Amino acid sequence: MHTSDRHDIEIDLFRRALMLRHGYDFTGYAPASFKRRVLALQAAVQAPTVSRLTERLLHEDGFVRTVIGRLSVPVSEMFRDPSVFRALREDVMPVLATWPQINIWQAGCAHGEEVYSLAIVLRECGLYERAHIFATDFSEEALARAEEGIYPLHEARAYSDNYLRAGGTGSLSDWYVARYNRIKLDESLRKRVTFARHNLVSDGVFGEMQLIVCRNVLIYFGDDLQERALGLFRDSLVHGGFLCLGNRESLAYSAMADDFERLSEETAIYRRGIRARRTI
Amino acid sequence: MSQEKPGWFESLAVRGKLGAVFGVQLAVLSLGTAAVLAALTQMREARRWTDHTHNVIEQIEAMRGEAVEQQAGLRGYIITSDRRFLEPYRYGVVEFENISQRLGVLVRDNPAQYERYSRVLALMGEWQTDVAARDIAYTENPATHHLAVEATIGGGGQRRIDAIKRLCEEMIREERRLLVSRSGTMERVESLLLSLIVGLMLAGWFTGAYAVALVNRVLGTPLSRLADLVPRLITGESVDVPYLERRDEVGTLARAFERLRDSSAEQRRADWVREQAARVLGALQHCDSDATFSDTLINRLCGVLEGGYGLAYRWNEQSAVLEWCAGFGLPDASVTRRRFRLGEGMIGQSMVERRIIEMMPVPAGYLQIVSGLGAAAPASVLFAPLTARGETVGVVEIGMLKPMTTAQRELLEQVIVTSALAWHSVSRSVRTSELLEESRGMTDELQSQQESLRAQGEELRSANEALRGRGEQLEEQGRRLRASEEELRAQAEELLITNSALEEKTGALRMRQDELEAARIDLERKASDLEQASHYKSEFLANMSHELRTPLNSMLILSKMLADNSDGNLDAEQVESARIMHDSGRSLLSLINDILDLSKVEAGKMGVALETVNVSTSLNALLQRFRPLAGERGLKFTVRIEPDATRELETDGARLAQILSNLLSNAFKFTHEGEIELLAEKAQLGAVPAVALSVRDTGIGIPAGKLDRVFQAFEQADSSTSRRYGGTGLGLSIVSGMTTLLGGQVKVRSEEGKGSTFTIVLPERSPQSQTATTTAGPPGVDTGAAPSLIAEPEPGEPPTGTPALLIVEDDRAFAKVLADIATRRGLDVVTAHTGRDALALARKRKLFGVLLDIGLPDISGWEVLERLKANPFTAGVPVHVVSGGDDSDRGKELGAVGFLRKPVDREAVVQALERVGAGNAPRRRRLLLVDHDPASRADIVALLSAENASIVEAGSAADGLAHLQAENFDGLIVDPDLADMPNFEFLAQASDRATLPPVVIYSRRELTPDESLRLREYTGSIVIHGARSPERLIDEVHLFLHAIERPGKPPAAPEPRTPGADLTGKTVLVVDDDMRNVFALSKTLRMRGLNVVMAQDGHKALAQLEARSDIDIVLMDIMMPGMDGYETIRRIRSAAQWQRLPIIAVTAKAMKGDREKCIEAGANDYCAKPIDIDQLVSLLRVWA
Repeated sequence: MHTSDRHDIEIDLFRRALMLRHGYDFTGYAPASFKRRVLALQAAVQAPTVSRLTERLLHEDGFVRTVIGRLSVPVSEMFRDPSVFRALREDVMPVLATWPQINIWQAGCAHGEEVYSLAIVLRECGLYERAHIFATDFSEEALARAEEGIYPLHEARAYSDNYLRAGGTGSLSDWYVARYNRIKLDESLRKRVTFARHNLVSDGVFGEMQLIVCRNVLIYFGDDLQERALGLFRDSLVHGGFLCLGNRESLAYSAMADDFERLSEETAIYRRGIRARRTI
Repeated sequence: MSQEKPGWFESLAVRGKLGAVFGVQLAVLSLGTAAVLAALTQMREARRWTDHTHNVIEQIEAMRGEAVEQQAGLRGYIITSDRRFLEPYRYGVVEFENISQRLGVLVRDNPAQYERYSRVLALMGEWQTDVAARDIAYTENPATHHLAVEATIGGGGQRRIDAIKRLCEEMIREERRLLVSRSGTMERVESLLLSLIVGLMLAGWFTGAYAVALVNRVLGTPLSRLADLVPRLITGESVDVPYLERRDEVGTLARAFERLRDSSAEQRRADWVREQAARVLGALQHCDSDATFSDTLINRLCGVLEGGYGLAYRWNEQSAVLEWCAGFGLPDASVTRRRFRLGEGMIGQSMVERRIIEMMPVPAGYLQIVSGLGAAAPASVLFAPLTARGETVGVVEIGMLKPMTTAQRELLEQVIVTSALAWHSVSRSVRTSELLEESRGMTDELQSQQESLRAQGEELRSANEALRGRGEQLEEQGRRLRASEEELRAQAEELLITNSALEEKTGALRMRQDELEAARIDLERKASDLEQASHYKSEFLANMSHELRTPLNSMLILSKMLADNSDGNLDAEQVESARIMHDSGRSLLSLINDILDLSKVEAGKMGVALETVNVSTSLNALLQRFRPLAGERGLKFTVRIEPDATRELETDGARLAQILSNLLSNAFKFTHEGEIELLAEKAQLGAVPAVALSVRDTGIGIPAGKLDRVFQAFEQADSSTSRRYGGTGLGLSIVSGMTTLLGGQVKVRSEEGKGSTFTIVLPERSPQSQTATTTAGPPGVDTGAAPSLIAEPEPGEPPTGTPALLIVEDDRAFAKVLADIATRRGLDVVTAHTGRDALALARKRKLFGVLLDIGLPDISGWEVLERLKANPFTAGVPVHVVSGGDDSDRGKELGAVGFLRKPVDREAVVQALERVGAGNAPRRRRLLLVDHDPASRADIVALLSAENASIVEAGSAADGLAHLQAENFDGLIVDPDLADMPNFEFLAQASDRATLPPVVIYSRRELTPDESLRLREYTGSIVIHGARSPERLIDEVHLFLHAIERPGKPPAAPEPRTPGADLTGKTVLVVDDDMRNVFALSKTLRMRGLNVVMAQDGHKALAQLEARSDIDIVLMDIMMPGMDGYETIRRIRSAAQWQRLPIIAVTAKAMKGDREKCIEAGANDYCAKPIDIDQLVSLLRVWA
């Protein structure tokens, strides 16, 4: 039997074990991507085969945390893609200001870099006290990291650069203290943030949102799962609410496309239900 | 005193001093005593002489008495011549002798007296010898006696005695004079003695006092002063020690004290230096970077040295310069030089010399030490190099306000050495950790880059994999190609061999070939002619049936209206006629539809819309549909689905239903008794999994010879059957065509007289090729392909008038039918019979909707549609297509809201009218605007002027309430801060009085969470004033103005209150921060008679529970900011009084274990989001 076939079977069994034993459903993930993550996980925990992973997953309590932590792709930085944050600051925040209370859902918050970026933008726009940020991820490890808000010092330069290019009005260093080669973000930025576990694959709508930020998460999903997640976003957003996707993601091929209007060609920021209503 | 030159006395040793003092006193005493002694001796001498004089006087008187006695005795004897008288004389002579002898000793020292004494003696002797001896002798001889007596009377003797007496008197006088002089002398000596004693006493007292004073001055005071110094020396005070110059013991003591003081000061300074150095170094120990180190160093140094400012320079080995790195007491900007080379300036110089350089005095104009109150020039400036292990680490410059003390210098020297070492090692460790961090950073960066690369690589890789897959395929193909190449080569060789043989036959063959080729071309031409003919036939059929359908339209609708006899003016017979007319029309229509379908199938124009079809649902729908017919015909009709048959099928559901219903219709048609069964079972279509759907009947069956012809058009098993059974004979052809279209096969099994079984086998997944659909309509009919004949007019003026419905239909009769239906619904209708008329009308008259026919005489309906959409004034008008064709996809593409296929019935027309917005379009909307600020009202009115709405303004809450009371409004725009009714009282009262229309809150200020929660009871539309608020206000107003067209969100349609006596009056606490939920839940629950209390978060929930005792049940959202639902439930459960309070958790999570987590936290039950109201109500019934 071909090695790759065996791999595929093992990975399939692994996926089923995750689903049956722990309720994490990865069936909708892009297969190639999922396979790569599983093989990376196998290498990281030095398991000889994927089947051993499956075995540990079934019998070892707590191993699932490691697995979930490794299967997610927590790569981000503060003010990643500054043009997006500039658009959020200049085009989205003034509209958000017209709601009495601003709920923001950062879906797939990873290590929280973008959560804090958002919080800073809100603070600088004077909207923070009215805002609630729900930062969710399906990995508890990632959430714990995100809640700490501690990042390596050497990243700070890139963050500052991004911050300024994103139209920051002060200095990023106003928002962190640097010590022991780490930067720690101001605790007050966490005041209106709720970190919670939420799985886009299985969990539902939990609140009415004015802005949903979900960047570079959908690329790991298969089509059906993407549709499901986008459906969650659509159902969560108020009319006129905003959806911010990653620059490489698009609603163009989604059934939800009609419910959204793209703000500009440069950024994947969409607004719910404006054009749809106008053309009636 | 110490300044004075010490006197000789002071220089004396203490022994000498004491000797001198007491010696002087002894001398004075001795002198006095000697003087007293001398005086006393003199006095004794004087007293002796006085006694001597007294003695002399006594002797003289005694001598004189004796002399007189002698005379007296002698005289007595002479007179008496008695001898007895001679006795005293004689005795006198001896006495005289004795006395004169004693007197002679006494006066021997006085010559004058002694001379007188001698004369006395001489006179006496003469008297005695001359007088006394002759007179005794005269007397004794009485003869002579007279001579004696005459001598005695004549006095010869007497003169001598008198001289003796005189001399004695003289001698006594002399002695008396001597006595007087001698007692004077004695008095003098006595007074001298007295003076001496007094003087001596005084002298003793004075010298004593002086001696005490002197000793006190010279010894006592200095000693006590020195003694006083001792405690000060002990406390370490810096004191001046006096008496150092003195050479006595005080001096020695003072010098000892001085040494003591000096050594203790030395000690203290050393202590100070050590302590300060330790402190500075201690502070430096905590520094872990160059910056903090240099900062701390310069700060501490300036602190301990009392420097006014300080600078630290760090030696940078790479660039070989001293770089300024920290400062004290001066702003960074004032540091003019930040870099020094070796030997450059004082700073560089001190590094070269490796010693502390003190610059004093500081040149004028040098930096001033500045405070908020003034400035002073430094007294001196220090430059100290920090040298460790022979390398200079840095240099510090310190401006001193006072010249540096020795201790400070010592401290500085000590500190710079040790701190240089420390700095050196700090730099080392900083460098090490920097390198470490750098490498760690690089690792991290590498990792994250790797991660992001990996993430980016995901897509690449999947693309790659696809490529690889394709590559493998290619490789496989290549391999196969190579194999076939091999074969080819072998064949070629064989061919070469046979070639020659063949060549011979070629000539003959070529001739045959030419003939064949000619025949083939001929055949091809005929085939294409045939195909063309078939095509024409299909097109003709399609067109014809389309043309037939249009007139049928009116006939069907009108006959139906007649048959309905809604006006009640027809009798039963007429109604029956109309019904027959209608039925005939329908029969004709179904024939036409069949022809159309068949022709479409044959012409390949039938579209397939793939969807997932539930087999059981579809079959059961058919069961429902045919069951009445079966009942009517007394036949048993069953549907059976084999368990192994697939449950879902990817196919075109509508076509499938059409196929099966055709088959079933046939089965029912040809079966008189027995049963009909619809069966689904698993099958294979080649290798593809498939489902077989069979219709089995017990009907007349088909003769074996005719089985192969049943699927041909217009064929029935027996031409007589058509007469007996009716029907077009097209059904099975359509079945066959459609099944093929769906990628399946039709089979038939039949036995004449026993029944038939028609089976269609469809693949479970429709092959891809089948999804391609044809969109182009039949040529010449209903297409917009023809170029437009009309020039595009400018948009021009916006259309006016009350919005009307435009009916575009060239069939005037049908147009009238449509218009009637619309007019009966009270709509304004305009009609156009050509495309141009329609466009012209649309430019003039404001429209709310269009019913559009496609087959128009001048331009196609598609073009009309496109034009309408291109015109900004009509782009938003919903267009519903009514057409004889079947191009619903194209209609959707062009923006039509619906597609109605002719012929149509009344209900379909009514639905179409609904879809173009007939329900609400013509009526102008009325809005009530309540805002006390006229300017703001004017702004809002201007903002909404484009809306099709009339706005009634109210300047106060009371005014607004009055308006609401009197009139009906479609919407309400409210400023929440109304002067006459604050705290949203207006909304509370308004909602109490009547059902509120949709409300938009337009607030000029931010609202607190509590306020927005309260407002949420009335509306979800809250707009806060801001730069982008006008836009949102318009959006929100749009939302409710067009609410009817938005099926998703009915405008708070009051549901009928469910009679639920069990829940009425119960109080439920809804804990949720999600406004939408709170709003919807509270509304729904209130509708069911529950009292709803709301809390936005866990804390408020606890507060509500504390405050109210009437809460029967709690609905708890889990994902809330701050305290989440789990925690809140736990807290509630921790209180004794809420142990039994029912709590239902509400969560969006569906993961394994989420429910358990809720129950663990103490919830009684669990309800998933989005909330199913029926489920929730059931839960409430169970728990409340």
